[in-house]
Amino acid sequence: MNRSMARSSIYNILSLCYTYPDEKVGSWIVKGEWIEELRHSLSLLTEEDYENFILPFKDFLSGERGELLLDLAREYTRLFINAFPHVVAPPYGSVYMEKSGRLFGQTTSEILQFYHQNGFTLKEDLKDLPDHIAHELEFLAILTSKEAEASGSDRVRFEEIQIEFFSRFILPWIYSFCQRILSESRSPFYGSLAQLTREFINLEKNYLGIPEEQNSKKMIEAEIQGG
Amino acid sequence: MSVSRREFIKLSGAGSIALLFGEKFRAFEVLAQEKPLDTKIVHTVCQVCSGGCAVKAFVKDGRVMELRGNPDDQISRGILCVKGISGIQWLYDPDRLKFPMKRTNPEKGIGVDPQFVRISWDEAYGIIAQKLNEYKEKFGPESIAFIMRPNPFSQRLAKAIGTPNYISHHNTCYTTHEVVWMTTVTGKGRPWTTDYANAKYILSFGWDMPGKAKNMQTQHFLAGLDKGAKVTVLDPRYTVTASKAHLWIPIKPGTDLAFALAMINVIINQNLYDKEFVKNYTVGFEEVKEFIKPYTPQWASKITEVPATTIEKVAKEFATLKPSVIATHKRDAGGPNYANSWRLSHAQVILMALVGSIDRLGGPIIERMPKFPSLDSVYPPPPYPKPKAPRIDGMEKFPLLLKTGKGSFSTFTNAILEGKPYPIKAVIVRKHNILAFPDAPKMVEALKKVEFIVAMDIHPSEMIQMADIVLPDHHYLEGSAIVGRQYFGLYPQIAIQQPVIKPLYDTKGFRNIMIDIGKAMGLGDYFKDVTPGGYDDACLKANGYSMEELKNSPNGLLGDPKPFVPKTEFGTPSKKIELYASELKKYGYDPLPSWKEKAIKPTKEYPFYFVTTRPPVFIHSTLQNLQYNIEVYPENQCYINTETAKKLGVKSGDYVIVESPINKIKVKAKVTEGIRPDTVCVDHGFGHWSKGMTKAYGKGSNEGDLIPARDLQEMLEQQDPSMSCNMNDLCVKVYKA
Repeated sequence: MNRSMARSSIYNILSLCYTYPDEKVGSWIVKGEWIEELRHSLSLLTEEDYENFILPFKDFLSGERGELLLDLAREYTRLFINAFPHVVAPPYGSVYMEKSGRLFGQTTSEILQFYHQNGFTLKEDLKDLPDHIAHELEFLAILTSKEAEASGSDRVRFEEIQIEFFSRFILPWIYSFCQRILSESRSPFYGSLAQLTREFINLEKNYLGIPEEQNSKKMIEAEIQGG
Repeated sequence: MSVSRREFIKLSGAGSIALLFGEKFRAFEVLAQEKPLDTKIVHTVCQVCSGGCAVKAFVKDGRVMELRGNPDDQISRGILCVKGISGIQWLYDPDRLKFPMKRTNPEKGIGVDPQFVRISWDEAYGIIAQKLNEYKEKFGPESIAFIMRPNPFSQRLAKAIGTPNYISHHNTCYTTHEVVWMTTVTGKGRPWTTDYANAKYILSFGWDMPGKAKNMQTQHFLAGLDKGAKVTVLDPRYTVTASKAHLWIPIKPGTDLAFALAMINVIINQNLYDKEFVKNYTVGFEEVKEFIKPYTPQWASKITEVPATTIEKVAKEFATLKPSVIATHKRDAGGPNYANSWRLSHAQVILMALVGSIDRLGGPIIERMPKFPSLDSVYPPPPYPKPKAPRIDGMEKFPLLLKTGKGSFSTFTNAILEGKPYPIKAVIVRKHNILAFPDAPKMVEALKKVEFIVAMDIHPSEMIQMADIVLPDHHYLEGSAIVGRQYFGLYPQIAIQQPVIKPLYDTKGFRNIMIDIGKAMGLGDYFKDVTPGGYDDACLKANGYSMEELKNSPNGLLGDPKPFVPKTEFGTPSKKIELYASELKKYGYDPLPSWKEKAIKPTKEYPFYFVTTRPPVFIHSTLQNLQYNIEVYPENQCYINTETAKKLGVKSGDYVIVESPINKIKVKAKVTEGIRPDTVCVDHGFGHWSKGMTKAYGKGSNEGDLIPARDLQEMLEQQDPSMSCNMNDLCVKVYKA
């Protein structure tokens, strides 16, 4: 597996972990086979030790299956859908990137347009918004795997698309989003996921060569707008 | 893509993921060619209130950017109200309900986390069907109650289950007007259309639709003013309408009936009535003439604290500046605010008959609405099981109200709490929020006794917090229907409601949900081939149209303006306007609006009259979670007269406690000259305790907490065919918090 494939694999794993843990996804998470894939893929990207970010998942998944599934469903609903006292971390970019804090803002149209311009659209029966974190991460998984298959100028093109997508639609809000999860998560799973996400995004930022200045500016904006 | 699918899976290193979904992509698919995002104008209908303003929705790049009134629509006339234009905020509010959910915490109540988890529609239907069938079997179908507006699809489901308990809010809203107009004029329903634009004199008994931003009424009222109509407002409070009036009479709350009776007295005694109209179109004039004798302006003056000369002046103007009209809608003095509201509504009918304005231009118009066939005639059902038990709320004792098809909130809460005559085990509720009930905290206690609650809504309301199963409704910009509209109908005009965008989440239309629950419960025979679209087609066909025509209509509307033909026959047994209401007498009620006081009068302990109002940016207890709306009205206020405030030691901005015999609330004081010294007023729509509504949560207090729930005996003693919930018939004490 080459570097692009390793990145694709991690994006896919993260995307699925941010998908609602219904019977299918929940069972996949609880089964835990993805942890090995994650470890292996990370090892291809960096020499740094990521064990600290992986072990908490192992710990969590050692619990009883039925309880784990209920815990995941409850916590996902509380963090991302409808919650008491309120949704902790809406998983939609526009909530953080738009001044109004509303869903389906200008940036949502832009992301949809971006998918279209690059030959993809969202499935008709998706029943969720285009800027859901799970979809954005899946899109990066697709782009990285396409990069892996391509060569020459195509390869460069796919990398450019990733850079644009990453800096326009992920960076401006992902840190605020992870922070909200970290500060209010009650389940070790999503807390660990937010930490892992943050670390991986840092790695990607370096790898894709996003200028630091641009990062910090966008992050500050996100902090201001996303609260 | 040059690699094969298998290779791709292997290569991606995410084998377990791809195998899990059996597809290359989860959320995405390949787009053959670049597709521009939707940019278009869609015709639809606003569903914030029941007005049904036709709307042009502007979509840019797949987002709804702006809503405007449809200029060809006789209701909106190209303009929307502040609530209408905020529909977009509602659509895109992050707090919306997005997926079906089930409760995992069995404990219920204010401040309790329901611990919802997302489920699929199939799982939701499975649970609902199993539970409802279980209760039906063990406790009888009557143990299941529907709490929602009348709708042919949900009514069919209730009838198929066999429960008589279909509960709705109308006796907090307008049943007084409905029962009176039905028995004296129409035989069915009340007029909603008022032709203010052609009126020369507009008299309001507490009507303040311009202050509540009711679109069509405000527009027509202002048109009337522009054309020189004279306006008189009776209201204990200086409302927006009062501010536009030529004369504001701060009448003592609940005494409007005395004023109206004295007006009848003046108009008859001074021979000012329209003899032609009275002779041709009414019966019972002689009885009224006799009955009205004691109700002189001098008599009314003592009760209303309005000088007799003023009453006389208003009566004369009303009878001579014609066409003249009494403005009514809902929750005005003749709406179900007081124990004598229905009598006032009757006196209003008599007054408008005496000046000949009923169903005449410049007066109240009996709608020329499109006629839609019943669901049962389009899809004849198998015979329904006959309910074996009486209704839980005792509404059979109010046959005239029952006949209107409208419901009551008064007695439901106590009936559940007492479990008499039988326990309510399950409720299916849509959009009737807990805060809409009198004594909302008591309703919470009642709902705790209900074992299984299915709730449908768009926002996570207080009712949702109590629910076992949550079913998310489409927002109206995502749904479809055809809408007849009744709030302004000089001629039949049908508007199409169609999805402006495809549903954002896993929501469903209400009518489909009802069909699905029916089928899941094994009641499929009642829903065989029944579809909302099929029913809409039949409704259009009955009016000589087709769905294709409506969809292709350049303005989303069908029905050309028709010249107005005044009615010469009415829907009563005599075919005339029954000033002396034989129908009321037949059912044992007062056939003439004899003077009766409101139920509750000030005492030493509770010295202030209590009235309520609603800010223009909200509709009842919804829309508070919209950012701009709550910014404009961040919390509710208690309006107190300057003189009274001084005595209480209260300044504007101080918090006060408003206390009724059953509850107390804390609200901010607003000191004003614009209210009687013996009256306080509090805005409705606040006090949300559902933390799911992040922007509305904790803002202000629910004034409905102060209004008592009633029991059947009390309602019977009121001798009111409309079962008025008396939403303003209350006295309170007020002190600094």
